[in-house]
Amino acid sequence: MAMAETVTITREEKKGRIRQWLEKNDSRIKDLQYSIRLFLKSPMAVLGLAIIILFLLLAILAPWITPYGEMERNWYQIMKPPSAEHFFGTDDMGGDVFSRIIWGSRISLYVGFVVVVSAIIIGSIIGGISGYFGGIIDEIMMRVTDIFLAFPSLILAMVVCAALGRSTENVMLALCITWWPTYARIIRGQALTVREQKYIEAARAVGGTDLHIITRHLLPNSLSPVIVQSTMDLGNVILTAAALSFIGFGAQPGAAEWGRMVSDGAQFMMTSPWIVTFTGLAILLACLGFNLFGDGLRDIMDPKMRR
Amino acid sequence: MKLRDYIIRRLLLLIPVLIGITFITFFLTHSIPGYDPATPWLKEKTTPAARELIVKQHHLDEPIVIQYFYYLSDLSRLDLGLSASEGNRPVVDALKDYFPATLELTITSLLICILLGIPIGIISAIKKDKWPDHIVRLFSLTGISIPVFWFALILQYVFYLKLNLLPLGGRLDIGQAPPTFSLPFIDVHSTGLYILDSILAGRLDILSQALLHLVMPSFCLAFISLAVIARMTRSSMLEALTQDFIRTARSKGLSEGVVIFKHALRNALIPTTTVIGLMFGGLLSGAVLTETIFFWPGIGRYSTRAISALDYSSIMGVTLLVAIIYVLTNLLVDVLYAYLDPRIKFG
Repeated sequence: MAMAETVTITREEKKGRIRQWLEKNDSRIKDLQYSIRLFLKSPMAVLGLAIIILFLLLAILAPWITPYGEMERNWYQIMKPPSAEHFFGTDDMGGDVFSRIIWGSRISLYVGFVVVVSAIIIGSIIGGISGYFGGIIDEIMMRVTDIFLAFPSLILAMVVCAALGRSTENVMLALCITWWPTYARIIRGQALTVREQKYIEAARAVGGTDLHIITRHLLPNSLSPVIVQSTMDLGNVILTAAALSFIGFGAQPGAAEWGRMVSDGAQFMMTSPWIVTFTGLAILLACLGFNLFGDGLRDIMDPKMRR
Repeated sequence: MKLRDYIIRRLLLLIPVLIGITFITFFLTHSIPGYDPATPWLKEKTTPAARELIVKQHHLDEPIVIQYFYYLSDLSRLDLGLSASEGNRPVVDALKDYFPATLELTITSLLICILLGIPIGIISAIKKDKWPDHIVRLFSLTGISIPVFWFALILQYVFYLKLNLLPLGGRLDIGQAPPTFSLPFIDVHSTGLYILDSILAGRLDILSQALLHLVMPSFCLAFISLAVIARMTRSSMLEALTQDFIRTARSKGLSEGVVIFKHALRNALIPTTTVIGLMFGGLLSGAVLTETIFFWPGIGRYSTRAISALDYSSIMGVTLLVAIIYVLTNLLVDVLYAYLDPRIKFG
């Protein structure tokens, strides 16, 4: 009996807490609802999100939905044009192009997410410290960022892959090295404006440490431009990773990776153009999804567009 | 701050950036496994003793940090070393040969971007949220989403294999010698820019050949940046159209055409100019893929070959050249920006 009572009390308490939380965050929730309404009004952004979800589902469900295995070859079905058995035809080794594109989406999305998330982490650390402390630290860190920005990114990535060995892991590493400066710049810029705000002063007045202020106030308030940039960058990273594989610095010949598949198929362009055509269309569609979505987000988060 | 002081300050700031770039490329390339740094000087008959001598002579036995300082001192004399992938000729000579090809390609692409991108952006802004705007938006986003290497292959398939309208690649037909000209008083017979050279030589047949060869690679390279310029023009046009002086102009009774082209566009072009400037560096970098696919003998293709051959003096030469051009165009853009918009202060 006593047990039941305590449970009801905590339930009451919980309800009270939720109500409190809802009241406290009322403006934020309203804002989010308004954003979602704005988002749903933009058909292109919704289309972008739909494409992203489609590719995520394809990547996750690949083992169950692909008619053929990742490296499954059928030597009697070499370079067959699209048909009911092979929607996108077969390649020079008798692999099913449709299935291989779906398997390839796993690698590409994985590379995209890992690179962008790592770039955001490195960029946040460097940009946050640089913008928050300013002065000589800022000067040094921004000069280092300048160096990386001035680098021809594709050439740098190629050199890193050549130095470390040609594999998908090294492509990711190379892209992380070339991608973080953009985020460092964005977060530094945000930090410069945010650190002058009254609430930062207030946080400092109540004894907030630098680390606390950076992680709890500065970074969360720099979030919206980072979200927009990272959505569009996901598409960009997928493109660049495919390009690196295409020129032979990533996945090895025969791998079910999009860039590699285009480059393996390029020599059969004359006789079986479907290999290159469908694989390239898949890359285009995936990147377009991220770009449409990111573009829509930018409109929503831009205060000018909210009027 | 005065303009002159500003430029000097910026040029001085370039020095640490460029040293940083050489530092990173030097240590990266020297960590490539399986490359013998003595390669460019070795001949078939080089004996081990002679090899020792070469290693000593070029300080290849010194610690890598010391080697880096030797590299910097060579660099200050514009000596970039020998290129192993280019028959051991000096890297500087290779760059001199290949750079004009890339320059011709990027300038053509840039022109395509400007001539198509700005009008597309203006249309998009005037017809905001109507169907032309949506089409332009979809087109621009497709532009930045398209895999260049794939687009190039598709172009080749359609225009060379199927329609046979355009050449597959290269700068001129196979067997055609590059145009040379002779001018009074100047001892220069070719610039490496085939369009300019063929005009100066009065060879219209070579000119048309060179132009035909340029069509596919330059469109391919321009496509991405075209989208960016169109977007930039659109948003800065929209920004300009909300300004007070536009309302004033309209209330004066000026026609919509005058308001758009004379009042709004002139202000809208300022940010677009800067984007165009910044794009130049990006185009140089993007040329790597385009040049490789279209057999374009420029620095992009040279760098791919050099990296594949682990020829590190060439890699460093190309990287340095592209980086220098990138930072110099950045500087030029900033100066131009302040010139176009007198409200900007140097600092």
